[in-house]
Order: sequence, then structure tokens, then C-alpha cells
Amino acid sequence: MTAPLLEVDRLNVEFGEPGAVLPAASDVSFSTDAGEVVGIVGESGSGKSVTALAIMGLIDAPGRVRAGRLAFAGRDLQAMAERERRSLLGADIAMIFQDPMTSLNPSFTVAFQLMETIALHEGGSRSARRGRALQLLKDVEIPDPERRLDAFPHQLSGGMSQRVMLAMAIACNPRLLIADEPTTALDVTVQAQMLALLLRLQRERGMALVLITHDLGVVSEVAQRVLVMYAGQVVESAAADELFARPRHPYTEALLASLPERNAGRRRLASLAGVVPGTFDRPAGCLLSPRCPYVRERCRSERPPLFEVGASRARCFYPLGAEPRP
Amino acid sequence: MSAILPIAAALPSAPPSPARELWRDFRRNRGAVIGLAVLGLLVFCALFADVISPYNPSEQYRDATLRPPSLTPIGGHVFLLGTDPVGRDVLSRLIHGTRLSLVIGAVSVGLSLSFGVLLGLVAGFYRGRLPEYVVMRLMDVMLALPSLLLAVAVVAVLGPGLANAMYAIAIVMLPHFVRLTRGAVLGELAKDYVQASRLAGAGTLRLMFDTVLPNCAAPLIVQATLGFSSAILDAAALGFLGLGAQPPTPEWGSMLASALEFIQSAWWVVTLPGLAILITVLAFNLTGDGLRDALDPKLKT
Repeated sequence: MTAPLLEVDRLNVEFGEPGAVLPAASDVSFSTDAGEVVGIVGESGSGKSVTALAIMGLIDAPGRVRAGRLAFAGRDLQAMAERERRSLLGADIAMIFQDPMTSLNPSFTVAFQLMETIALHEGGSRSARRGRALQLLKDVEIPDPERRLDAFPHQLSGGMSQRVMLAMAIACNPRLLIADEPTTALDVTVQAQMLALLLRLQRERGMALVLITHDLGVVSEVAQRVLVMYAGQVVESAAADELFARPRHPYTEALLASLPERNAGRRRLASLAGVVPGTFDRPAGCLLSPRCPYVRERCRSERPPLFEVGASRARCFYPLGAEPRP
Repeated sequence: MSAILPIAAALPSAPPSPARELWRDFRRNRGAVIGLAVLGLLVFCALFADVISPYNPSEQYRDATLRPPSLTPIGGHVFLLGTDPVGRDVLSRLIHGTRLSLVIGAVSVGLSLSFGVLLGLVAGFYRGRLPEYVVMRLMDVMLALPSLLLAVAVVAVLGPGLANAMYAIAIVMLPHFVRLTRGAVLGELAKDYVQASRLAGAGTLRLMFDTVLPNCAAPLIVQATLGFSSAILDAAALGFLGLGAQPPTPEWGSMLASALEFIQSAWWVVTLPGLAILITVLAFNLTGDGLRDALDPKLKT
């Protein structure tokens, strides 16, 4: 069996001073094969973005990153020199961000920014790079690409900025694309187009895609495997179909129950009371215990590890539809 | 968000170039346009001082001391704005003084801006680490001293003279540029395009100067323009105290100082240099305000 494209094993990211440590991600493990779409879901503050940034080496001091293993295409990212890691990341792993309005440099035109990226990784003459930039804009289905080339970011709409961002990301033919809430800031009609585009590019280019989102509907449509995160931990990981058919963790079940599609005819959306714990109110036991509808004595005192539950993995002593764990 | 609409509507014609857009916004402010026109006049005076000033600014007409402004010739010479206590033509000295004032402004602001931007970038990029503490606490100390007093102290150490006065003014203005740069850098660093640039493989130096600095330009341009006026004012103050330009240099501040005893009997020797300072400072301030309005995206409609 060949090594997975991206391997993340027991990734920990911490912020804060000693004594007031916030574990933004704890023991996050997953892997992605070439051409696979992995969804990471969770509410705000659950550690999705931090996980992505840590993989990309973008967590700055005073944040701390530790991992059992962090590897891309079999190469250990942690053992690499900073410079080597950067050149690998820029070419083989690309990332697009949530807010399209700030993810382009406002001082330069679209063409300049695209051509800079192209120059950095493949070079070529000015006119060749400009042609390539134009081609990329066509690939991401920007209307009237010739004129958009010389536009500044503030002259583009949010959807167009996001497409330009995507064009920059795929400029170097990455093997892995991490999309951090790529549709959150867009309105609904544009969201659908954007998602379709993302998937088309992923399929055409055989890229692996890690899709970070808090929209379960999006994940259900596109992902093959799903990680559900809560308070920095992976609480459930499963094949997408399995997750939606048989959620094993109470949090996953609550997330699914809160989908508007599953609440038709009801007056209020089903929801989970409370908020994600912060630095000072982390419970001693299971992190979900203060909010969990099925909570028992053991959950309040002991932290569950990830258990194998059927075809899934869930961080729960009493997984749904299965025997309690010892 | 309302900014999107008119631009989108104008898209069938090509979007306006940034320079043209800036000029369009700048032109709306009448005071700023007047300020800019006055500045143009001042620059013209400074460039062609030798050509347009009627006499040599250092030449003393001993038979025509302290003459009031008039059109009647005295010994074959017309002193349009009168003469000073040793018989030098005030108009010529004012025109040559323009040159000095603009040079003082340019040099002090240039020095202060370049070092300020450098230190501000370092402080912003190394936030929460030693370089930031060293730089920012030093700037706090400098801000705690009254600016003119600090300038006087610096000149006292370096010795009086025009060049030293410029260095002193640059040092006094430094904290403003450092703080402004650092603030703008912190604002920009929080944006995703900086992360994207890091992902694309940009190193710290490239991030500092190519990615972040151009986006901090707007407040810096405004501050530099306004800094010009305070530099000119401080230079005049130092000259007045005898710590800046030394006689017979036709510097506005020292012109004021050397004519102080005639303030009751000969109004023009004191009033006219004072007016020159006032007009110049006002022109820079008006232009600076206009630039701020034109460059500040939050005010754009």
C-alpha cells in the first residue's frame, strides 16, 4: 500500500501562557489520499482552521505546534528546513481562505499577483506568464477574463475575488488543496457555483481536497470522508455516507439534527444549548459533557479516547447505536 | 459595500486607474487644491530662486536700511517688500528662504520616514518579541519629551547649524512614523493575503517590503505631508532660537530672530517671514488633509 498524500498524526496546537493554555487542536489525526475529498466540519472555535494552518506551518509564536508525524507524500514536514518546507508547500500544497475581500493584496492588479506566483514556481517570459494567467482566469470561469486581468482587487466582487484566489492556488498545479471555508463569505447562489467549480477542478486535476466548513450540507454532497471536530478534538471520523446514515457521536447527531432540511415543519430548529468551552471552562471529563443530552456520570470525570465504532471512529464512551465502551 | 455599485456600473468603460481615481477624489476638496497650488508656487520659487529674486539675498544696501515696502526706487533699487536692518532685500531673502524651508522639510521627513518605516516594520513583524519592546519603548520615551525641547537638546549635543537642526527634527518626528507604520503593519498582517503570500514562499523581507509596505502607504503619505509642515515650523523655531540656520543664511526663523528688536518700528521685517511660514505650513496641512480624504478608503463613496 502506498503512503497517503498527507499524513497528520496526533497534531497538537496550543496558545497561551503556561497555566492558561488553550489547546486549539489536540491529537488531531487524519490522512488524505491523492484525489480524495476530505471534509472537516465543526462550529466556530472547534480548531478546523488552526489544524489547516498548522499543516501549512503558518502558526506563529507564541502558538506551539507538536505532532507525532506530519508528512506530505512520505516526506516528513517537521524534519525539513524552513526554506525547503516553504518551497514544497507553495508548489504542492495550496490553500484558499475564507474572506475573499482580504485574501488578495489590495495594492496590485490581478495579473501582477497571478504572474508573480507563476514566476516563482515555473518562470517563463512576461507574455507567456500573462497568457498563463489569462488561461487560469478562464479555468476558474471568471466572466470577461481579459479585462479582469488589469483590475485591482477592490474592483472585483466577493465571488470574483474568491475565483482569483482559486486561480492563484491552482497556478502551480498543487497535489493538495486546503480550502478553509471557501463558501462561507459568499451568498447562496454563488456558493453553489463556487463549490461546483472547486469540485470540477479537483476532479480534472486529480487534486486531493481538504474542505473545511461548518456547513454539513456542503460536506454531504462532496466529501468522501468526514472529520467532525469539537473544541480542538476530532470527535468522529467516518466515511461520509456512514456518518450521515449512522452518526455515532452525540455531537454529530446534534449537528445533523440542526440542519434546516431535517427540521421541516417544526417551529424551532433543534439545537444544542451552550457554547464551545474556552481556556478557563474546559470540563474535566468529555469536552461535550456540559452540553450532551446523553451525559452520564463517567462522562463528567473521564476523557474518552477515539473508539472504533463499526466502520467509524468516535470519541464517546456511549456511542449511539452501539455497546458502551469499557 | 456601497462602493461596489458605482464601480460595477462604470465597468463597461475600463475601471479608472488608481492615479486618476486619486486625483478625482482629491479635486473634490477645494482647500486641498488651493494648498497644492500654493505648494506648486513654493516649489517654483525654490527651484528658480536665483532667477526670480530681484537681488542677492546677502547683499547689503547700506543706504537703504529698514525701508518699508514700496514701489519707489531708492538709489536705483526697488525694494518691493522693504529691507531689513542691514539693508538686505526682504523679498529676495524670503524667496531664498523657500528653498531652505523645503530642503529642511524634505531632508527631515525623508530621514524620519525611512528610519521610521524600517523600525515600524520590524516592530510590527516581531510583535510580542524583543525587537518590538526595544523599539516601541524607546519611541515612548521620545514621545514623553516635549518635541521642541527634545530638538533643542539634540542640537545642543550636535552643535547649532542647519544640518544638525534637520537631524534633530528627524529624530523628533521619528516616533510618529514608527507608531503609524507599526499600526498599519499589524492591521495588514491580520489579512489573508499575507498568509497567502507566505504560502507562496515569500520570506520575511519580501513580506515586509513587497507585500505589506505598499498597503501601508496611504497613512504614511499623509503623515509625511503633514510632517513637512511641522518640520518647517520646528526648523523656524530652532532658527529663531539661534540653534538652526546661522546668519546670514536667509532662513525664515532666523530672519524673525534677527529682526525681533524692530517689531514695534518696522512691522515688515517680522511679519513677512512669519506670514511665509504660516502660508507654507497651511498649504502643507491643507494638502495633507485632502490627501487623507482621497486616500482613506473608509471615507470613499
